[in-house]
Amino acid sequence: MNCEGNIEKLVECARRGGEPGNALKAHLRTCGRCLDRWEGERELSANIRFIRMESGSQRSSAGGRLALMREFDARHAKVTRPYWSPGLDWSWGLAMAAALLLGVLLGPEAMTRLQPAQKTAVVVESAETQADPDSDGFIAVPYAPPLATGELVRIVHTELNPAALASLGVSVDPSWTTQLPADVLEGEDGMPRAVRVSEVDLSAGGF
Amino acid sequence: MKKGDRQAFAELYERREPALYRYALHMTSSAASAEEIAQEVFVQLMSANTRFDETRGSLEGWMYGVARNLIRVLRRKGVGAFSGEAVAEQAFEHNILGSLIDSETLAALHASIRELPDSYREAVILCDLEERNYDEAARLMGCPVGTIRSRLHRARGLLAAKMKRLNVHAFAR
Repeated sequence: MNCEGNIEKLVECARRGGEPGNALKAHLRTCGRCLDRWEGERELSANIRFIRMESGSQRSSAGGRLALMREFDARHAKVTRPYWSPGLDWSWGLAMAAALLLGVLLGPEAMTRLQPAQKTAVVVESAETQADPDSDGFIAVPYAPPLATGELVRIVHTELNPAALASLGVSVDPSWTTQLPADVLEGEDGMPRAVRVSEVDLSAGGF
Repeated sequence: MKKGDRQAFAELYERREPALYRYALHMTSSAASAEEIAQEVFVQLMSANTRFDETRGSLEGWMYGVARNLIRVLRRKGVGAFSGEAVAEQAFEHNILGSLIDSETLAALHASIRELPDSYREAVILCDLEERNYDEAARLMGCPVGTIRSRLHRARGLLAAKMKRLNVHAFAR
């Protein structure tokens, strides 16, 4: 093996703090260049070891860690805002649009009827309510934000015209002109989430 | 962690920050710059628009890559230039071993390491000072194992020759 190959072995040997094998030792006895390198490598390894020991425990200050964790908390707080936060979530805008649509379709007269309407408070018992808005015959209002578990909802008993009901997804003939009794389910924010026709048999009487 | 797991982030910091800080310290020769770089790596990691892509490599490799870029930026700005004595003083500040060896020897070695080309210095820092094996160092530096190995051997050759010229023999005294 030539000197280059031997030097590679000597470097690795010095890095590990070991001794060269017999073949290398024999070579070192006859090669001044490799012997010089071997001695230099051993000394270098010893000094590097000291630097390693001295610097091994160094790290950033505790203040730096604290500042970083505060930064993490601040950023995380921004990320975990409620999903219906005004101005920050598209679903809020859609809900507003749905409410506006409902208002336009119902007209001023119907809206005034809503105000004195009888209201019943109900608490959402589980998240399944969000997934199944059709429970108890309710049909979800399109694009309305989902209800949260534990959110207080109100059922407003009112009358709606068939066109308004049809626009909300209720299967009625839009040409029908008679106001129909309906239950509107509102969330805590007052936004309609679901609607159903009440006390009327949809399968009979002109539908 | 991307989902805001504070505990996971804190654990990652505890596990990775010290080595990252030391790498930056050896590369910049400045404790203040090293701390700034180590912190910035984690700040970038927590950013929503972080460019870390796990399909392209390890998180640790990404972190060292960010640190390397920050070091380059600081160097361009002229930040981090520092005396070898300052490193030696800092290194020995709280350790009794400092009194047992010649601080001049270590200061000279620090200075010699600092004068190495970046690629050689990185190899010395990762393989010798941080005791990473060649595979790990190659992964962190994003280069082949053979490249790291040859860089380290050349760097050590330069250091050994420099130390010999300076006639610094720590254990011969």
